[in-house]
Amino acid sequence: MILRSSYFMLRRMLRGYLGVVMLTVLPLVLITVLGMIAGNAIDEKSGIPMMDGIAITMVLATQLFGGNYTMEYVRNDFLSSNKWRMASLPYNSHTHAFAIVLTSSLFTALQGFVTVLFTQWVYGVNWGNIGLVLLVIMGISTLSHLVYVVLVLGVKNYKTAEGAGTWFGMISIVLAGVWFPMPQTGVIGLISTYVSPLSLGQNAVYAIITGEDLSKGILSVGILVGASLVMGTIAVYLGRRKLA
Amino acid sequence: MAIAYMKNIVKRYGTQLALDNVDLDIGNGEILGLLGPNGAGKTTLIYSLAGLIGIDSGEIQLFDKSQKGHMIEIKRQIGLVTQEISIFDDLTARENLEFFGGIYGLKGKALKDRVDETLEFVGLSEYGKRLPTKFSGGMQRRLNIACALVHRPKFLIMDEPTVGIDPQSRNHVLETVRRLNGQGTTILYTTHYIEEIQAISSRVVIMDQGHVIAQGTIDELVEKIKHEEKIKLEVAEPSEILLEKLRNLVGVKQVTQIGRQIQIISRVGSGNLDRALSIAKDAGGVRSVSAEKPTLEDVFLTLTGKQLRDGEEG
Repeated sequence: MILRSSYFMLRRMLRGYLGVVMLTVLPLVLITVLGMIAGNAIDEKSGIPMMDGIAITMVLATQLFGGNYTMEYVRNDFLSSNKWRMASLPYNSHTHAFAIVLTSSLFTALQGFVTVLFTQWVYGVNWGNIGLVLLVIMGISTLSHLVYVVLVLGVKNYKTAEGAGTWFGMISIVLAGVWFPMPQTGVIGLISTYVSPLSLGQNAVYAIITGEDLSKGILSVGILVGASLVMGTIAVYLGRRKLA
Repeated sequence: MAIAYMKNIVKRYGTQLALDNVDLDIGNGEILGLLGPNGAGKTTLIYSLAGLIGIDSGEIQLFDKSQKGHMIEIKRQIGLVTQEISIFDDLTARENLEFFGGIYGLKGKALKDRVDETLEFVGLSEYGKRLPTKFSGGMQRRLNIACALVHRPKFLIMDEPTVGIDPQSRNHVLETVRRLNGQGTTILYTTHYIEEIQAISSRVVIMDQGHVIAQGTIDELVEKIKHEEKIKLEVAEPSEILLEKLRNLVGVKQVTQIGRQIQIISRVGSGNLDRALSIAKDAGGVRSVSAEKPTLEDVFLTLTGKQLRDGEEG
């Protein structure tokens, strides 16, 4: 039943052209433009071409906003007038909710992966082990979608939940030092490196590409997984209360 | 034999009593019309019957099974047509039916054939590959109904399925209801349109403020007020003074004004037709007068003291 529901969810998502534009086309445009500006410059801190750094940041940052898919479908299917139709079915609502999160996470991750492949083949970005990079993308995607599920089920007002989701993405980007450098020492340095999902993803991908700071990369993946488990538990609890 | 029964059902929303010791039987193969104004408790009643909301006390059985512990089994045999359109806008009409049909266990060729049949039944065969966003309101309503029919439910619950649609689409919906019933489907149909109830129901339940006020066939219900007659006057100058004089006539139960038309419910044999005519002539003139036998709407007015539709004063 989950596979079947996921199939129909995917059909619905494929018709959401705006989502594809925002999560695939827009990052590619930004990577292209910023990459042209960066040229052949090398990032002194990481030792990799700036173009590669831009591609990594864009792909991972985009995943932070993919949770809007989940939020929109949870609202449409469970929190609008459709909820009565869904409740009348001989069908566990949690199965449908799980299908939404699963399909949305995979779909968003897939869009990110398409961007990875494009930048590798067209711009020559070195992603290292593509399989491991895909796993990192899926990890961020899963965490993001679970955060959005918690927001849509836990916050009464949908607009507020939507706004909070956007802030989640923005704060993650700020903490990762994308817009301005963050202090690398003390508590702020710790938060910047190990709290922002974007930073965690960057740590893991840089470790994959360069082969350096492997422990930092592994710890970052561990934190992503742990955070996803925590969010997943909260989502299940809220789901049982709100969707029962 | 009852396909469903509800006994002593109580449901509260906070301090508000939505259902007050409601008893209801639904016979196998009948079309039961549930009539009442907005806020009467119709939707609460049908949602609790379908297991969508819990009740505070009472007992509900469907298909000889209690809801407790058998809800999934019961839901397989129920179809729900919601008042608001509940379809997936980003799936085509055919895909919507495939999704819902699959939930009920249909698959492969059986699912495909059933989807084709259902689209034809509701008159949407040519539009199977279109998204509902391209449909008119009436077509969306038909798809809404189709999604509740695809699994051939034994019991179909329809919650005001014709709200906001054009007369042609409404007639199509009513015709669909008749055909379904002809095929053996038991139907519970809620509405606040008397004409729909009169067109399709084999039995009627009248609700108001969480109570079942009366139930029976239309003839049985009208028989309850056979001692009353309805006088209709179209006057030149309706006024509050005129209405007050009419209300003060002995034997007059209710006086209602709609524009220039005044409706008087009065006791049969009271002679009030002549008196009302005389008063109205003195008050400015009468354009037309008629006396009618009571209708289902009059039954509702007599039993509840109010008009069925909001905004009309009793």
